[in-house]
Amino acid sequence: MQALPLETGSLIFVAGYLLSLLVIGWFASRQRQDKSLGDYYLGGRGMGLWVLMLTLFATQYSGNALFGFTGQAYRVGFTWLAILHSMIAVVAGYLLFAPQLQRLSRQHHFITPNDYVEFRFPSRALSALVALCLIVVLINYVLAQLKVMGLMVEGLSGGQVDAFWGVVVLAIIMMIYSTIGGMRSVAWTDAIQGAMMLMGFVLIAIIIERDMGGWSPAFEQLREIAPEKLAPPDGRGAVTWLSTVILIGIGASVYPQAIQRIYAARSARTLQQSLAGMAVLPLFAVVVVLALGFVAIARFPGLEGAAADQVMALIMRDVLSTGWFGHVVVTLLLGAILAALMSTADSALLALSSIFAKDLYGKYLRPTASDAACARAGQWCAWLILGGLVWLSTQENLTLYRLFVLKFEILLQVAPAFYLGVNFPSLRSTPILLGLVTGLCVAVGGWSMDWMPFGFHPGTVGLLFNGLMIIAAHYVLPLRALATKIAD
Amino acid sequence: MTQHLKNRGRWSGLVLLTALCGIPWYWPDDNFGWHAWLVPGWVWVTLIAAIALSALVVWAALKGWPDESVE
Repeated sequence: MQALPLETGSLIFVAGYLLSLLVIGWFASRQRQDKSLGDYYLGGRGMGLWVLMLTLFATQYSGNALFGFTGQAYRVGFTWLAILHSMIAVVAGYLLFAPQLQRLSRQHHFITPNDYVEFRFPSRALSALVALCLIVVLINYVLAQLKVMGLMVEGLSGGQVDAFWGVVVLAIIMMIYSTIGGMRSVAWTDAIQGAMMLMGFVLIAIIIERDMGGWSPAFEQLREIAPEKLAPPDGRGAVTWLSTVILIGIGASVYPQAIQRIYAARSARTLQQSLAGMAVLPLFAVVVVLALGFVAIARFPGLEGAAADQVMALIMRDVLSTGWFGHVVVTLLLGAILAALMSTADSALLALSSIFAKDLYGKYLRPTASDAACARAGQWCAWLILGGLVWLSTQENLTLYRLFVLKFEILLQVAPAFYLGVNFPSLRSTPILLGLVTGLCVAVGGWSMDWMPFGFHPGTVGLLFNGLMIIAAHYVLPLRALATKIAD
Repeated sequence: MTQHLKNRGRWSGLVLLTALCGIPWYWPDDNFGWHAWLVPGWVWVTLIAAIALSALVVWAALKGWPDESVE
């Protein structure tokens, strides 16, 4: 990230914001009703409308939304509008399974996403594979956020603070508040972080209109400088557009941390209204972020590859030069970026900790352990994993890092267990397991070879094979059993 | 359950259709001769489709929620 000439006041604000997260964590720990896993990992299943909506928003929109979306909009131009449809499609995806899942979670006291899979499909192989997929995805998530945190700290301090130490301090703050307060502190801090992100978007939209020449001249300039970035996608591009909507729309709806928020909703009505709100937010949040990327094409021409991901920092530098109001906006925006990174990382870490505590420690390592002991084991696991990831995030050119970039490809293959599980009662575990294995082979294999048949992502092709295998196994396996019975 | 699936099938079909409408399939380079304000016409069509998609999903969230008493 580009170094920003920040004033002391801005740095004090950021420090105050970080301190406030610890205070919220302490306050949340005082609100705990008991030492059960449900109270720690799901906040006692009492999340209200605004907290639920903002925590879902903050969890869904990570640091990638601020840096990655603007960078991609800069690189490919208006065809990246596909992300707007994708983020709305995520909510449509929730609606296909969340209502029943929330009801079942209340009846059967689910804590982790895998609790549902085990309840619905009693197969050890399937639940172990789903747990493994979710752990890989969550580690990927945390690692990506830590990487950006390091870059941000280095950029903010003008290179005076090493990325490693920046990540260490932020990770420790994040772990302290999530360890002492569990889901309550993560959700409350998420709510504040979500509100800050929304405020940051509003302010930057205002400042571009007020102090940076306005939106209209910027688009006029864009038309002259890079007309190809205004062009619609060609045939293959339109296929990739559709594939992106499927990949993100279905994949992001089964984020483990989002599923836990479905469990944590106070009531069906609360969840219903939160999802309705979530369907509107992309129209504002995504459009502003994308517009920033488009404006940057005209304002900072010539950035290529990874350098394009710096456009947000370049815009902030420009905003800073507009005077005191610019300083206020950039300070709030920095808080919002930190918020986006920390809210996604802390939610993913808490989900990771719960999967370890409930699905591994409490089930296989120490089945007689109490809820409090499982929660403690989960907390230790989160600290250890975070320690490893902090080190990993500062390593350069890691092939392991590339492996962790796989995310939606994997999540998409897990989705049928939730989507079909709640809607088709006659579906059994073997077809889902066979479909998952087939889908993973196609998606991971295709991804490793950069395979994009007709413009479709490997994950989308994997989902197609996954679905075909489920249908085939659902109808063929009973026929085989019947044939064996007749033969006997 | 069957009624729920039928209802959900209906609105998810509508959602899918709207999402498909937002994809600028084979939009010609001359934008059908349409010189729209600020950005090309296909961008406006895509944005309108996104607004329609969002409205449909809000409607589905508020009205298409399964009625537990039926189940």
